[in-house]
Amino acid sequence: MLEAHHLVKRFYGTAVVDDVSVALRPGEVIGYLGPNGSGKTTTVRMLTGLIEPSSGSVTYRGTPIGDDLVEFRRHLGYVPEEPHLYPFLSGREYLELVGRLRELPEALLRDKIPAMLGSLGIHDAAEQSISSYSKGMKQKVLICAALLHDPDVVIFDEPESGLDVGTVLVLRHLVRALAARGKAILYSSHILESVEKVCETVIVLHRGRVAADASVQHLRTVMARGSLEEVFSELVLNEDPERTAAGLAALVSAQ
Amino acid sequence: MAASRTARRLLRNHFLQRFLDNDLISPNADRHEVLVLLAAALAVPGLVITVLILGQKYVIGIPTPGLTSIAALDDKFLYISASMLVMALMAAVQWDALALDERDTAILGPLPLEAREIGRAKLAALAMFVAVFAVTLNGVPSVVFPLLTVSHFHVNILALVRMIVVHAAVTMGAGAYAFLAVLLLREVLRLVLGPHWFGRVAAMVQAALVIALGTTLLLLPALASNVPARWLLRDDVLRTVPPAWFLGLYEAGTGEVTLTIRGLGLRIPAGLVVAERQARLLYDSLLPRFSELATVGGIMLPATACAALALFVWNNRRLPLPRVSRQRAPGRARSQAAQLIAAAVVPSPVPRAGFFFTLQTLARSVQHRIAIAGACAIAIAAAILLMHGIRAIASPAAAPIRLLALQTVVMTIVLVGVRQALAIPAELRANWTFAMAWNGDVHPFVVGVKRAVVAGVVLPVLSATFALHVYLVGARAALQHGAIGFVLSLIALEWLLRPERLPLTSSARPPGNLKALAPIYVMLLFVVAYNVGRLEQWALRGGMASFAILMGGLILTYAAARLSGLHRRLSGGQSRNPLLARIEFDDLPDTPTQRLGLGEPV
Repeated sequence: MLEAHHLVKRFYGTAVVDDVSVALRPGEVIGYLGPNGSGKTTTVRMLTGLIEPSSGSVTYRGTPIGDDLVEFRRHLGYVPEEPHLYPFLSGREYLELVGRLRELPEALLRDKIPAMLGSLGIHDAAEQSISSYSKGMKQKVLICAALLHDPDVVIFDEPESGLDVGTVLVLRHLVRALAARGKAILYSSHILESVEKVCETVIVLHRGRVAADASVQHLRTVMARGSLEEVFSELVLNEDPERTAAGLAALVSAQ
Repeated sequence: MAASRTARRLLRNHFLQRFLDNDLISPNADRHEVLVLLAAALAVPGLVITVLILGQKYVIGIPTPGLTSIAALDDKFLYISASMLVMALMAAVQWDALALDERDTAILGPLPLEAREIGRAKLAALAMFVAVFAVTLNGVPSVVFPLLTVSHFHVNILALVRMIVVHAAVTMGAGAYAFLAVLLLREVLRLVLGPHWFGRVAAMVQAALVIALGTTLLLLPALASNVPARWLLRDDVLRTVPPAWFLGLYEAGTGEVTLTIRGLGLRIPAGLVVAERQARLLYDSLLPRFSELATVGGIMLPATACAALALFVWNNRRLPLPRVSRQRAPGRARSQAAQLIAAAVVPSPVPRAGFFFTLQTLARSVQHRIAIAGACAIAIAAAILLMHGIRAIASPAAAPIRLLALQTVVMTIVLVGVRQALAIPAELRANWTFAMAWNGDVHPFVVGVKRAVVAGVVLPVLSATFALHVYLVGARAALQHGAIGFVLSLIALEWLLRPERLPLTSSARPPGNLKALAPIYVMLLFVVAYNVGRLEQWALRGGMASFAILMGGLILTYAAARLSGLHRRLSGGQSRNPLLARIEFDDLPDTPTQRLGLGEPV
């Protein structure tokens, strides 16, 4: 459905994303893993058309997304990493803005917005201005905004950031339920447990390049590791985390 | 534990930087660039007025001491008032940054700093801001103006230095007084209303202050003429005219020099002997008044400073807690009424998005509110000038053209302000929302924006002018005039809101060669307004038939403007999809390196 072929993005001559290919298919959830600065968000921004790749292409149903970005985005839901919203709007007003820009019928918005906000537990805060929201509340508004128009492709970039435990569990079930309804989903996250529970396939990114691209089960088997966390450590961590932590603790105590 | 000197300096610098983060045109722009522009904007008007206008007046025009001392009163009043108004205006614009707020709590709260230390650093930053601002504003005139006023007389260097010091001290003191008065108002409101109500009222007070101060500043040249008769001889001057207090201080400080110059025995040209004698008599008669005014000024400045500082310290004795705005959901009846109105005014989704987003942004965003308040100030000043001397009108047909032109002038100025406000992004970093949900066609969104401007700006302005015209020319003529104003507003909107950039999302860019174009546009506005006024005068004299002809012509003009826009849209590529490439949904501001193309990804 949504495919990226050999994506490369260079900033000031340095490749931040180097030869990354992804294929999102209906009903599939792909986990996108990598340490900080590995190029996850840059890839996501290229997939959504917010930035153009230096080379490579992104196609939606076989057509480059740049040919008709508007049409592509009609089918795309996107939860960005940073919850930048209009602070002077209330949660309801923000979702109404998004819904109206997406040309959704007013009656649908009237029913859907309170119901979605209620499902995520912020119905009481729907009339408060977003400037007073916590990070988790903003994240919930972003999730509602991304799903308001029933998209075919959903890209989550660190969706669990700031969410409480209960909502994280709801989100994981929601992702699986959406996949069951035929949505193609990319789930970019730092939280290995979530990716392990939600995704069938994972792509591990390290310094802009794909370090692994396989099913979670396959990675565990091939690398003879019991969990995705151990697989991830093996693939992308150069130093022993315990030793790094000990060094850091020593630095903290240094006078 | 007391903060170290370094910590205090860092805190003070942090607060100083916050004053510069509030620029209206280019959020997060390069700070040095903003500083240079701000300094130039403050220093240049004083320099131009002093050297180009007053230079001619004193060096060429007034050769005698008595006439100079009286003429200088007007100019001193102008300097003092300008300093006060600009400083007060700056305080009003910086309203939110005048005291500690929730953001300070979030940033500084976790640090091991006492609230008292943070408050002290904020106060130091305020003091430094006021000082730098006052010096930049008044520095050049303080040196040049005294030199000009004594250019014909042999004054010793000590007397000249005294005049320079007094001018600097009085104008800067007056500016500081005005700044402190706004701070005092803010702190009194905060103390009396409490955080919740203060949060609700503050925005309105800020907008009202910007309008009132901006209007007065624009009318200042007129207000600062014939100062002795207009202000100094009034009975209530001691209570109600703060610039006069500082003029009293000025004269108390330099009066001896003025009287010494008289004693130099200069030869008075024969044609000026009488005028010179009268001027000296007038000045002498004002000396006791100067003394009274100086006393009031001498009391009011420290009293205001003490009160403002005491309240500031009290209100900022602890860091403010985050305020949760508890908005209630609109009631059922209100909600249904809003739905009905929205369904009638903006039935389709995208225009509706533009309609509500525009109203919400213009009403709630500080930057947008200040931009519109500034335009309102200019419009009110223009209206007062146009209204000058108009008292009662015998019949609608006798209405002077400038009264009929007033509505067009006011409306156009306000709409230009709205256009400027719409060019400021509502929140640059939230622009991705539009990028992701955009349907590729600017037109429907702009339709919603225009309707919001009609509902939120045009109709309220027309209501205000309508009330004035009912009083002056009667209800029927006012209704006709209002109808014409409404159609003219629609035409102006078509012209001003051409969808080249998406309102409230794309970054404002400096308009092309405004220095050359602005005077042309202003002249054009008055030519159009006066000619429309002349046509209206003809229509009012000719009865309903003439009015119908005029309205028909205007409606046809509006229809032509709409058709022209439609034609441009259909033939110029503003069809649905290709347009996206032309709309810039900036999510980051331009930095100087980006503007030079140095930051482009390779």
